[in-house]
This record gives sequence, structure tokens and C-alpha cells, in this order.
Amino acid sequence: MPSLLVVDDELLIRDLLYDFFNGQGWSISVADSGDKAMSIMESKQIDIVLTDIKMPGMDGLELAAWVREHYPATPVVIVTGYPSVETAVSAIRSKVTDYITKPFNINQLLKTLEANVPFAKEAGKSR
Amino acid sequence: MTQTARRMLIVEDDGLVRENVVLFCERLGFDVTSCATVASALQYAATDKYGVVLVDCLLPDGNGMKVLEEMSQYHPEVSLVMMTGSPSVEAVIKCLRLGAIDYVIKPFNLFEMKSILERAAQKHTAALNVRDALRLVNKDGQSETRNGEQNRGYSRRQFAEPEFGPSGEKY
Repeated sequence: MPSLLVVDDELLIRDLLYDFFNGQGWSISVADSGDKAMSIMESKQIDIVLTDIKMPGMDGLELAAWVREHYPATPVVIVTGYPSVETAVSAIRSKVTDYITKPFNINQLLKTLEANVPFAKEAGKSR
Repeated sequence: MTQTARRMLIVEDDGLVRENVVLFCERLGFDVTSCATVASALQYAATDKYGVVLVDCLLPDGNGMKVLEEMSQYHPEVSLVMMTGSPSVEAVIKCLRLGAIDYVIKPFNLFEMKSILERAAQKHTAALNVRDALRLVNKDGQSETRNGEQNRGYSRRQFAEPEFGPSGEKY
């Protein structure tokens, strides 16, 4: 079962993504801050991270840089409601896998995550 | 560092900018080829090997993104850097998805450019090392790294990551 870590300070987004990806056969962990996300990553196997940029404390780009340093094989996908050239360039430099703007199409998001976790699609088919 | 790491293709239609960037890169020790159009860039890319490709976004015969697309598809080990005077979020996202390692906004700082190009050359060498490692395929058809860890499948970006070297060492 592919494992996804959702990091967003908005409860509604966390719930939406939890319900959807849980229904697709993914194992979901959620965090409302970068600090909690780091704790989760240190305690369990995560195949891909989906994070908002603007959060209290550590932002999503800082979290992406931390993931790249400590878990270089784990893809990080940025989701933001406030896209800008500056954050997108920072995303390239933080070596994120993708940068998605809100509002997003959840099926498109699923395809993006599946493309970056090769065994995820098979897991979805075997539900 | 590999022989191709310091071979660079610069694609820029503004003659003055191109001349200055070529001179600057040559001073950094790069072996530079330059051109001004998408068509000539694709021709150079098809006939010669480069470690770093620096492309302007707006070119007389099309968008520099076309060069990135071709390089990304056929030469994934090449470090790609886009430069532009008219940045947009959409363009940066597209560059990210094509595996570009940086997006430089004009006018740029030469010190910043030096750091980006040196990183680009290192990444090319690292990417070649990873490519060689991934060529070691086990009898079940699953690729594995030199130290025996199984490859779970990687994107172009990860493929090009220097941190993701075959021995796990940082570059």
C-alpha cells in the first residue's frame, strides 16, 4: 500500500485528501505543520509527501529541503493557493517533484502522485 | 568530473547578452558552443554532447522550452537551466516538470550564475554516475543500484539528483 504524508494547516484540505486517497487504497498520514511532518517521517515509511507552502512555523519549501536532505529518494509535491514566480523558482531549487496550484483537480493530483510512486497504480487496481 | 560536464550549449538570441555569457562561462572553464535559435540548438544537441544547456525562453523561431523538452526526453543526464526576462509561474512549473535545475531571471547576478553553473556541471557528473548504476539490471528485470538496494523507480528529477548517487554519498 503506498503511503502519503499530507501536510497542510487547513483541516478541510487534510480531511478532503485523507478521504479521497484512503478511498484509493493509500495509507495516509496527516500533519498540520512542518515540525509534525518531520516527526512522522522519522517514525514511519513515507513514499511521497504532499505539502502546502504557507503554514505556521516551517513552510512547505523548508520542509521540502529537509526531506531532500534526509530522505532524498522521497518525492515532494508542493500544493499552493498562492503561486508566485519566487516560490516556484524556490521549488525548483528545493528539488521538489511537482508544484500544483489550488484549486486542483483531485483526479489529476492522483495521477501526479501515482506517476511518482510507481507501485501506487497497481495498489489502486487491486483494491 | 566527467569530460562532458564542462561542455556547455548556450542558446540566446540577444547578441550582446550571448557574447557576455559565453565570455563569462569560458572564464569559468567551460567549453562553450552558442547559438541563437531553437532549430540550431536542436541541431547541436543532436550531433554533440553537452553537460550543461543554458537556454533563453524567448527565441526568434519559438520558445526555448522546446529545447528543454527535447533535451529532457533524449538527454536526461544534461543539466538544464532556463533564463528569461519575462518570468511566469506557468513557465517555472513547466521547467520544473521538465527537470530543469534552475530558472534564472534576467538581469542576473554573475556570482549567482557562477554558482548555478558549477552546480549544473556537478549534477551532470552525478547523473551520469546514477545512469551507469541503473544500468546494472538484475535477472528479474528490476534495476538495482551498485550497492544492491532495489530501485523503486525514479523520476527524471530524482535521476538527476546528485544526492542520489550510487553509493549514497553526497556530491
